[in-house]
Amino acid sequence: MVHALEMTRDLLKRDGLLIDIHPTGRPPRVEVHVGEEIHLAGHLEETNGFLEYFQADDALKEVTGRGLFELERQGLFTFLLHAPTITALVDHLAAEWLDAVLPEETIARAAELLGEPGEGTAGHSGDRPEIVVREIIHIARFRSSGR
Amino acid sequence: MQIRKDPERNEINALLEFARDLTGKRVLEIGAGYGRLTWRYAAEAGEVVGIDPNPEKIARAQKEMPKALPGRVAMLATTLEEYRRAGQVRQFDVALLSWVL
Repeated sequence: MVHALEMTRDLLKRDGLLIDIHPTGRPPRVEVHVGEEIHLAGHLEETNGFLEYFQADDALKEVTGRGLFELERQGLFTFLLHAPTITALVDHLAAEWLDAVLPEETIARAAELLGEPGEGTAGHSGDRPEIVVREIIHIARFRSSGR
Repeated sequence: MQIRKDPERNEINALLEFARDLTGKRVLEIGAGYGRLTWRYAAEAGEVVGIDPNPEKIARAQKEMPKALPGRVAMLATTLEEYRRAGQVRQFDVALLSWVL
């Protein structure tokens, strides 16, 4: 990761900006939304325990410590992924989030909240329930420095 | 119904706030994937190069690129190391590490 940041710096103009977006490593909440109500079904896990996100933090600390970048601003935002059914969510995770694990108890709780045995039926309009994965994301702006 | 990612636009709002002003800027997006985030900010920027090592994602991005963007946005199937080795140095105002670290 440090090497990637060094290479990125080479591609930036002097005083160029680096904006990094990556998850915080807090397990994302898996919620079922029914109208205005939000119910917690459980949390999404990752097979590596979100280790890479903490490694990313360490890499950014190293390059700022070496004076390659200067941290100007950082913050958090919430990223929501909406799925109409459990099947849709499971299929999406299998295709795009390969190390994600949706625990069986979370699937069962979500199915219960959706009112279907293991399968949601709804879209996002009206009071139809949907599954929402709520993830806290870190964003930071750095300025290239030291040259 | 399909999966919807960030219909609330929290991510793009945060990006535009942190980037301050992308007008006329040259942006390198590392980990551009199929352009999910790229399409949301590219109209603001002067020029965008999106790279991703996954050729399938880049093929999808090239296919789904909004009509107003070709000529200002290039989506390339390459790694950061290969791209840098090709001699592309010190030319970007902004580098965006998009969920890749």
